[in-house]
This record gives sequence, structure tokens and C-alpha cells, in this order.
Amino acid sequence: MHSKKGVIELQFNWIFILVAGALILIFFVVIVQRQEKVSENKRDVDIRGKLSTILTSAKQSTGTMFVIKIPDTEIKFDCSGYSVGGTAPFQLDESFSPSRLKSSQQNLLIWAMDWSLPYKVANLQYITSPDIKYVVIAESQAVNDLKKILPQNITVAMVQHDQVQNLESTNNYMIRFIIITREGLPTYTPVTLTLHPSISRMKDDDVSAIQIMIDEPGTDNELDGHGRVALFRKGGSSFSATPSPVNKPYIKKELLLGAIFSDREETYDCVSKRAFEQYALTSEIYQRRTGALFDLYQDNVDPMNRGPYAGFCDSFVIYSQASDLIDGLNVFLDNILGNKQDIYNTAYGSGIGENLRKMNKDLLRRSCPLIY
Amino acid sequence: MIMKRKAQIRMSESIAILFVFFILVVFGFIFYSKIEARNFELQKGQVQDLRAVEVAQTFSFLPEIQCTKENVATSNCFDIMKLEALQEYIGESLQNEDKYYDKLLRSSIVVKEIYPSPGNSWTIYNKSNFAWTRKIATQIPISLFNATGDPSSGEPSRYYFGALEVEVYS
Repeated sequence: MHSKKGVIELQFNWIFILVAGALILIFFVVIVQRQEKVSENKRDVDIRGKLSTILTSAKQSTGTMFVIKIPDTEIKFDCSGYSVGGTAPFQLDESFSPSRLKSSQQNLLIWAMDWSLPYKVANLQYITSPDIKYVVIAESQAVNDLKKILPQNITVAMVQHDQVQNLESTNNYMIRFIIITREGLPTYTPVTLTLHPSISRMKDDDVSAIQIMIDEPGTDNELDGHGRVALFRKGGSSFSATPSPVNKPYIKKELLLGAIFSDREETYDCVSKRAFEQYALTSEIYQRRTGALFDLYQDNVDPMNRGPYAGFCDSFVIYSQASDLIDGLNVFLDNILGNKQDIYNTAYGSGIGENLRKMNKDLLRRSCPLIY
Repeated sequence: MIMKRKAQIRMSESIAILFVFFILVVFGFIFYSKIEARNFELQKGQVQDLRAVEVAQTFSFLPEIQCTKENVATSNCFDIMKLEALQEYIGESLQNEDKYYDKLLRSSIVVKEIYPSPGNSWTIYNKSNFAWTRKIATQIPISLFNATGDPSSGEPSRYYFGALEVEVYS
């Protein structure tokens, strides 16, 4: 009888230890899981804060390539900005980037270029990863000009059109094909490309292409004029012709680079829209300043309409003409996705028409205050 | 009977030990959470400091107001005529002011001339009309460019000394 009681007590002790042990274990497992989440959030907030400051600073230094180390994490980019993990996205205005940024070497490539039309409008920033491969179709016209504007640190491959089918995926998480065409020359489109099976097997979102159509080449660099771009995404084993991509305008090589580094049509649309909004703001300030210069220097027969500095700048009429030209820009800017040829012509002109660059040079020659 | 009571006492002892153990763990956890919350506040403060630097930097490099000669910009230099145009534009309507909100957040931005006329100042942007709890002030020395000078008195275009005062509120 006595030994039976002892056995029950022993069994009860074991059950008690088991229940209590399980409770303690669950308690700590829950705490560890919660702490893991908290630590991840803390890390993301920390990365987000530092990244935002680094990118803001880097945006002000044009023409310099920055290679920054990032923790082993993925940065997402869309119209609302850059986001790390579950943190709220931060906006960098005129900043172009692929939709996903990550790097096996934990490096990010950042640089900015000054976008002027003809006065400085904004610093356009580009962010990419060395793990993204940019494949330039070598028969494309202006390939040499493209080489000049692409930074050296990015992974670029030059491939002949008929060799694209032999180009294998080399563990790049994203591949972007670039084709440049010009009117009057034989043209290729991304639809004509035959992809290697290793690339065909990649996710559709990770393989994209851009077709650049130059409408008016620039003077120093063919890509520094204006034209249109069409952005394609892989559909199965090739680039699909349907739905037919809408041609997006670009003006000057800086905006074109933005299109090259944006793998999604919608991000190029919204960042370039932001760039044109900044152009409208800058133009507004330049128009007011040019109007104020005209008021100061105007030399009218009627003494009531003479400016305080009348007689000190013979070419004061230029200020009025420039003010009108800048005012006219707003009409072209309202049509955000329309043809940007008029904006380019107002800035640099083609032929005999007046343009802002010519006016600025005239003012410089006559030692008058400049427009920009 | 005595054995049953002994077992009950041992059970109560074990439960009491467990209770004390959990109390200690909970105390430890509360203590740790308090430290974490304090660290989080510190981190939040650092983020706000960084944001204040970002605002000052963004304003310093606004293409609308930078001094340029044939489109070559001079760093840390503001063209007075452009400053006046921007002040007028932002002051015209709330809609215009809002166009700068994404860049300048809740801040006030004042450009002051230090030499030769210390009284001159331009309040470019002011979004301080809310119940803020923290203010971070940054002051940056700058140059101010008078593009016209005063030709009637033979004074050419010239540069002045100035300061950019940025206060970011949160």
C-alpha cells in the first residue's frame, strides 16, 4: 500500500516537472521570437535612417561614383521610395533604381548627374547593384556614346544581336538588355532577341529590356539630345510584343540613364514626372528673376517706365524675351508624357530660333547679368 | 495522513519556487524592455538629428537658388534675386508652400546676411505652426551673390557673407 502511494507521487512529480518545464520553455521561445522580430525591425530602422542620409549626401555630389557597403538585406524601390524590410519607404525625389536592390558582395553603386535644360534643374541620382547585368546589343548605334556615360563599376556585357542566344545567366539576379536605334538605320527591338534557356528560366520580373529611339542626337554625345524609350519585360522565353510598350520621352543623357536603371515602366514614369515638376518649379524662379532683371535694366523713352539701372545693359530686351520663353515652357511641361522636343528647343534650339543658351551667351558677351 | 500532508507541502514549495522564478523573469523582462525603450528613444533622436542635417543639405543644394555662372554652380552660395523670387513664390499660396513640404518637412528656413548689412534676412519657408516637442537647429555659413551690384554707383556684382538657419521640428 505504502509503495503504491510512492509510485503515484513519483509519477505526479514527473508530470509536474514536464508541465512546468514546457511552460518555461514556451515562455522563453515566445520571448526569443519576439526579440528576433524586434531586433530585425531595429536593424531595418537603423539601415533605413543611415541609408537615407548617405543617399541624400551622395545626391549632391555629381559625377562621383560611391560604392557603399550594405548589410545582407534587400532594398525595394517603387514610386513611394526606398524601403528596407517592413519600414516605411523614404523618398529621394529624382532617384532612379531597379525595383530590387541586393548584392552578394554587399555593395551598392550610387552616383548622380546634373540635369540641366539649359539651367540646372536637379541632380538625378542612380542606384544599382554590381549583381545586375546590363547587356548592350553591340550593333546598336551610339554604343560608344553609351559606354562613355555608363559608370565603370557596373556589370556590362557587349553582345552582338545574333549572339544573344548564347549569352548564359551568370548568377545575376537581374538582367537588362539595352538596344539603341535611330531613324533611317536597321533597327532591332527586344522582341527579336532569342534568349538562352538559362535566362528564359529566370523570373519574368528579373529580365527586362529597354529600346532607346534617338529623335535628335546631342552635339557631343548622340544620347545627349532627346528621344523616346520603350520598356519591355520578359514573358516566358522572349520579350513580348503585347501589350505594346508605350514610348516614354527622355531629354538628355541624364534622364535616359534614369530609364536605363529603372526596370519598371511605372517607376520611370513617376520619377521622371517628379523631375519635370522640379523643372517647372526651377523655371518659375528663373522666370521671376529674369522679369526682375528686365524691370531693373529696361530703358524706356517714358521716364516713368525706366528701370533704376537703365542704360547699363543694352541687351535688356533679352530678359523680356527669355521670360516669355520660360513662361512658354510651362505649357510644354503640363503635358508630362507628351513630346519634349519643344522643351529641348527652348533650351538649346535647333536652327535659327531663339533659345535660352544663345540668350545667356549674348548677355555674357555684353557684360550683363546672366539668366543662369 | 502525515505522508499526504508532506506531499502537499512539497507541492506547495515547488509551486512557490516556480512563482518566484516567474516573478524574477517578469521583473528581468520589464527591466530589459525599459532599457530597450530608452535605446529606441535615443535611436529616434539620432534619426531626427540626421533628418535635420538632410533638410539643411537639401536646401543648400536647391538648384532654384544656387549661384551659377554659365550653369556652373558655386557651392554654399545663394543668389539673392533667386532667394527673393523663391520667397515670393512660396509666400504666395499654401499650395506653393506644400510643393516644398516633401523636401523641407516641418521646418523653418531663414537666410541672414552677416556682412555688410547684418539686418537683411529672408524667411523662405516656415512650417512651425503646430505643437512641436523637439527642435533641432542647424546653422551653415554661406555666401550671398548680388548679381547686379549697383551700376548707378559703379558697384559691380559682388558676394556677401551670410548664414543659413534651419530649424527642424518634430
